[in-house]
Amino acid sequence: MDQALQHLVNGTVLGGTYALLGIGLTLVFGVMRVVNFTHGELYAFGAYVTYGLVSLAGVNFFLSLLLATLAGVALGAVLELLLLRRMRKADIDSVMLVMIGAMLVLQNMEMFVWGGVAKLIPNPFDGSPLVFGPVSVLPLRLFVLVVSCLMLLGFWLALERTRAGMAMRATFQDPETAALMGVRVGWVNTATFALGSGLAAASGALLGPVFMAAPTMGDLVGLKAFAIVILGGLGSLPGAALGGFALGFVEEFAGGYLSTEYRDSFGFLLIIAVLILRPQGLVPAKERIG
Amino acid sequence: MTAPLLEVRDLAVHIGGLVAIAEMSFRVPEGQIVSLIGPNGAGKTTAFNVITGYMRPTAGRVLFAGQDITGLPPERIAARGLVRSFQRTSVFTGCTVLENALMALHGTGRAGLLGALLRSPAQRREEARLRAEAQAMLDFVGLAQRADTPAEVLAYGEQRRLGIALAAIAGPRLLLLDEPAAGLNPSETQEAMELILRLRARGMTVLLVEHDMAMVMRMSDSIAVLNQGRIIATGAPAEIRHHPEVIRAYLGSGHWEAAHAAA
Amino acid sequence: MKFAPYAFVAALAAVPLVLPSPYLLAVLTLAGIFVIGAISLNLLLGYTGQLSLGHGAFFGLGAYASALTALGFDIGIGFGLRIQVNPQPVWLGFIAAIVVAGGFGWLLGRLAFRVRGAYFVIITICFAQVLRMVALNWVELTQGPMALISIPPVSLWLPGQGVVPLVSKAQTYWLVLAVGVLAFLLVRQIVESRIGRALVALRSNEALARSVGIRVTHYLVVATVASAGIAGAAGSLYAHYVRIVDPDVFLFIYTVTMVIMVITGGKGTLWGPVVGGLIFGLIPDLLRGRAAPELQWVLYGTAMILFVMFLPRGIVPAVQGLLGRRT
Repeated sequence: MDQALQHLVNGTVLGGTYALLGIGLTLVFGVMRVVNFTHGELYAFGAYVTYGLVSLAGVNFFLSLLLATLAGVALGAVLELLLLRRMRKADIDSVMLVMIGAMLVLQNMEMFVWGGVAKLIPNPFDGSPLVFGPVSVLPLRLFVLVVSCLMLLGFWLALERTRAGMAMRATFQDPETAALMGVRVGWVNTATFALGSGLAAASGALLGPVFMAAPTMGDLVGLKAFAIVILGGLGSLPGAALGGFALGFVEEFAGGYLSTEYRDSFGFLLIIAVLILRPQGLVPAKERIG
Repeated sequence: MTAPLLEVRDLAVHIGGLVAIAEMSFRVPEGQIVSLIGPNGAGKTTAFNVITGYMRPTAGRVLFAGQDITGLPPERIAARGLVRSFQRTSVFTGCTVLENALMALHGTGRAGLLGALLRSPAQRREEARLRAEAQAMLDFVGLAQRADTPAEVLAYGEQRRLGIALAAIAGPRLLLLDEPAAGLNPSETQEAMELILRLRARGMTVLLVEHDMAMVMRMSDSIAVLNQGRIIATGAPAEIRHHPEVIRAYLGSGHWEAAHAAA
Repeated sequence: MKFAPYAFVAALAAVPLVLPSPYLLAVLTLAGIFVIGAISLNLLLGYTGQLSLGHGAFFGLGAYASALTALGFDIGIGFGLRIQVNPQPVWLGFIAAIVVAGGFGWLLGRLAFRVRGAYFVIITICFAQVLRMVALNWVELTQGPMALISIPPVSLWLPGQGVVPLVSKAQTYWLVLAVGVLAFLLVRQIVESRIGRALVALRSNEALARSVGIRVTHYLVVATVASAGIAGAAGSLYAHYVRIVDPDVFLFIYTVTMVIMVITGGKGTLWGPVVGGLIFGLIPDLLRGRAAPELQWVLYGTAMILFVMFLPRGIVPAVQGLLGRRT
């Protein structure tokens, strides 16, 4: 029972960042109908930039997290302007192929720059866990959970309360009508992609110190992001948040009780199971896309 | 009295809260040309989609040659002899006209993977037969000289003719044509009409959806009028022309004046 | 121009006699194996229009199936039961590779109709990843990351010599060339038949295809099984050539390599994967030593982006256009 509670807590920490990851991906899909294969690389980018700032440049940890996120936003904007703008009229397969090409470029540039060795990101938190009854949490993980939740809240507020957010939501539901109503779709697309990338980078920045920054993390995390998004239903924001937490719990519990080695594969198995049994996901989006 | 070739019974289609078809029943007797007309948004395309298996109805039945085909997928319905044409995207792009025709003859062939790999005499004979039939249909619709042209390069009128040819090529019992005259000029419309009449002469029953009233009045054996998801009148062109409800449904629309003028 | 393909194959066959550099043969052999993979992927991606990004899965399955058949294995499958297989001749492994890969292809094909578009693409990627995890962790069967080693080379029965293991570079090269030509012809037979027309119809206009009676699931399955089987054969050749198979064979980059070959060469054309395969099979060796592998991949990624954006139909149709021939 105690173990279960511990897994629950760990799963929540993981779930929070996974939720951010999933929301970033599903946002891009919902607004732009683009399957963003570079999402995992933006996660890695966030982790590595954090590493670079903290370990090599000696920048304050918290500031590094912020800067890494902003760097992700910037990179996302660049990718959209450079690649996706031109592909606006192309079919979905071609866009996917371009995104894969971009993923290859990003991944290998990262490997070239940082080398193939995992990097430890030092953090200013105490190494001894805080104990709350039967569960213990590392202060770092608690921090990650709090920040993730704050970011999720901030994202939700931005989407609901700001004009930019409303423009995004309108395009999400119905791009043609939104354009007719004066929403500048081009600008919305750039902002969406930048925001989605920023969220990925933020997840990477937050989890980097927890797990280490490794060169193949992009691939693995990218697939998990897809698992999350499919679990929740491609194109559903609440679904992605739910999916993120669901994956976090599944990984923790299955990893703990069933098999630690297969831990990372539960995400993929989950995708396949969901796609076979309930292709529309846990929270069906308004229309099936694709 | 023989059973109708196609019978739609109490069809209802609700899409996400909207009633696309409220209640629809009509019949298509074998050997006739029946037109389904109605103002825009009346539910004609939806009806077509349901009859041909692209959409499931919320209620009701579709009977073809006495058999219930409701809910069957399009390819199974086609195999039974009910083929439709499409209003838009009506050809296989990236392929020549001849290739298009051969593709549409798929159902009349039988060669499978083994046949493809081994090229048995039977397979070769089948290929030769398919080619001959494809060529014959292209001659029939007047596209023989365009056999090696990519389908997307054809003029609009030629593409529409190809679309009809593709639907008719396998010799279906019932041909469903979705606005065959859409966007055609008067002489092209005349050609389309003659083509449909020639297909009927070959033994095909035709159900069409059309907006061109003159054409509908001149070639239909019977007309069903759809308005707001309901059939409001059926009958011969002469009856429909003067039917008060039909006139009311179309009131003010230029189509009606044109139909009267053409009569 | 009709003799060009024959001349091309003859020229390739003559390479070990004219330019007997072991290094060149090694490069061409490996490139040839990937060309076979690309030819198989082209059937699914180019002709049927399904963006399957898990093709490396079939390649890897073929490699493992063939290697395990040739090495033999002894595993427990729970309930105290064990399966024990003694080492078998390599040609049996080759067949096992085709059957196993084809079988998984059948599974994927049946799935393809239920999940379409973006969902399908994602599921194909996950498919390969799951297999990689299995290969990594089912150590009893696959030796995990320690890899299956000492895989026997292919042995063929040659007239006058009996059963001979093909150890010489030239012999293996000719074997790969022979299988490559066979794969090419197989795909050509399919493509230029009623089946091929059905596949292209599905790619070009699925709604119209269905309206003339073309059964979608059936043909997707046929395409996937054929494609997977050929990829499995390529995997088998790989296993017995390189003689080591480890879980990295399921990595995404193998799939991406084949995708790049097909896209740049010209998807939906018979020669596209051959051209693309030779280019991307040979470039890495031209660049060896001059550029780090990561930078090479940056180059390939950029190439893919540029091709999809500016030359989406690939090299072969572009060349045919220049030569005034219709594709």
